[in-house]
Amino acid sequence: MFMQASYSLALREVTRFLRQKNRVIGAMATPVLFWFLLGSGVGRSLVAPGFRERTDYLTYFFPGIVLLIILFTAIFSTVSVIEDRREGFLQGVLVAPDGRSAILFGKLIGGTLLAVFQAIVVVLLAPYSDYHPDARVLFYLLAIISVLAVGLTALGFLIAWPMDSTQGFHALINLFFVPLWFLSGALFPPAGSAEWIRVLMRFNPLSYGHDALAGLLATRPGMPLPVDLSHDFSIVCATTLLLVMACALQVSRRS
Amino acid sequence: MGDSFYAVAAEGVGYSYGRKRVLDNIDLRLEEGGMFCVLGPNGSGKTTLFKLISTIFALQDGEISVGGRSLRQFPTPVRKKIGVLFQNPAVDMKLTVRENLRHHGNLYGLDPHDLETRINKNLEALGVENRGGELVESLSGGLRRRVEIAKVLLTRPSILLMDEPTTGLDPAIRSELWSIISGIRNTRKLSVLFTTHLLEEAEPADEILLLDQGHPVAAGKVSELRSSLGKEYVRLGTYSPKKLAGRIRKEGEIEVTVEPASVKVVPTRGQAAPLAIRLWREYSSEVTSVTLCRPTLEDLFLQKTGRLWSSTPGEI
Repeated sequence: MFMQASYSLALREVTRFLRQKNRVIGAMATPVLFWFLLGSGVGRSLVAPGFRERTDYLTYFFPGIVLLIILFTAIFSTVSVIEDRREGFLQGVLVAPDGRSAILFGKLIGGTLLAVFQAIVVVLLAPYSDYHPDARVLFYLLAIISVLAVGLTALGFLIAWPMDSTQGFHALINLFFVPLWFLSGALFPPAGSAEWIRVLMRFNPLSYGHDALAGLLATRPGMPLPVDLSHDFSIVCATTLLLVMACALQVSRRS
Repeated sequence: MGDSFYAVAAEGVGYSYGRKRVLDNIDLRLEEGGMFCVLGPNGSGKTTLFKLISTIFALQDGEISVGGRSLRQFPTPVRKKIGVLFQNPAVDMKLTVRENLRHHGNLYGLDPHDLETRINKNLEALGVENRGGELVESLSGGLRRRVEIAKVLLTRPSILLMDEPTTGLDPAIRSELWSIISGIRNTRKLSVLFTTHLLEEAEPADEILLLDQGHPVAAGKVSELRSSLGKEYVRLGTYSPKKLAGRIRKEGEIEVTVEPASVKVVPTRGQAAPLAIRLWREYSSEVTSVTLCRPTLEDLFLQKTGRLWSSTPGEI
């Protein structure tokens, strides 16, 4: 019953997403436009430790944009928790036999599917940024993208669950998630940053996600996988597990 | 509690939001196949009580059993027995009617083939079989309510819980909704517990619990509660109730109460009908209407609380 209920809730998330055309366009087009304009604008202007010599910013910025798409899609898919509560749909789920655990796993599966799908579509643009992932790298990319998507959806769920205002949720996103992304290495490498920024980046789990994405994308066919990959994977997986457990604890509490 | 023969039984139920006590010492018994109404003005705590019975809120004080099973110990089996109709429709506006029903069946783990048969049956029973492919957001309020009833009954609950089911519906659709509920009760043994702030909606219930500011003020069968209030009375419509009441009081052998746009006159001796005719004749220049009344639930509320039904605070 639990699996059937979770599957149904996940399917609902996807159906709703596809029926809201503006949401599809907004989630995909905004980060890609951001990447194209900022990447082309900065171009080859930056020379900093950690950048390959005169690296095109379009290339540097690409893994960060993949991360941003996962972040945006996963987090914003959980706004529906607040909307569902406000519109009354959530209470109908909560009175079902496995409603509380099903709503969590349904949202996690739904948010993850949407984020993975959009991230993979953008990964297909990789050759335009001088990245050429082969099938082996694509498999690892799919894995890290999936784990990141589960973790970020769980983080969004954790924040959205006790909230009753979508405006409040958006404010929190701007305050918390955008800096989290800034400090992941998506916009600049840690090497040339101030010491305190480097410390923050070291403690930001998203940095390890970005590191894994950037390392995998830079792996040319026939080259060995990045040496840091298992370390990055471990940290991202552990953080995701903690977040999912925190969500499970939160939904099990009845007010 | 020994409530195995009651569909719903509550004993000593209390609830607080932080330090604010919103429900205190609530008892109720809904017999199997019966219809029970929790009646109260806005702010009386009926929605809180509903959320406790429907398992959304965790019990704080007291005990509730549903179908003989303790809600505190067995919330999951209880959820399988109940169908819940909320004040705000718990349907997804972006899904079609059929998708909403399918989703609900999946939430309860119904077999997919059986589910499709049930969906077809329920859509037909509720007269929305031709709307299955339409998005719920495109339907009128009345049709949405029908869809929701079709959805709730998919799992064949033995107890139907409804929280202010007619809120936001116009009078014609309200009446239609109650006809549908009555029709369902005639075809299957369904126990119904509902909340309302509309006095007239409580009348068909077998029993009522009247709440005020989180406290029970009266409970029992509607007819018995009414007869406990005494005899028929006369209500005189007027633009100056205080002035008219002052003049009528001088007549003696009557009780006079001033209301916002009327005066209530209860004969202490004799019948209300001749009194109505006499008052109409004597005060025709000041009286806009004369109504011969039986005691109502509104009178019961006034008697128990000393306040008019319409002068109550906001919803909890």
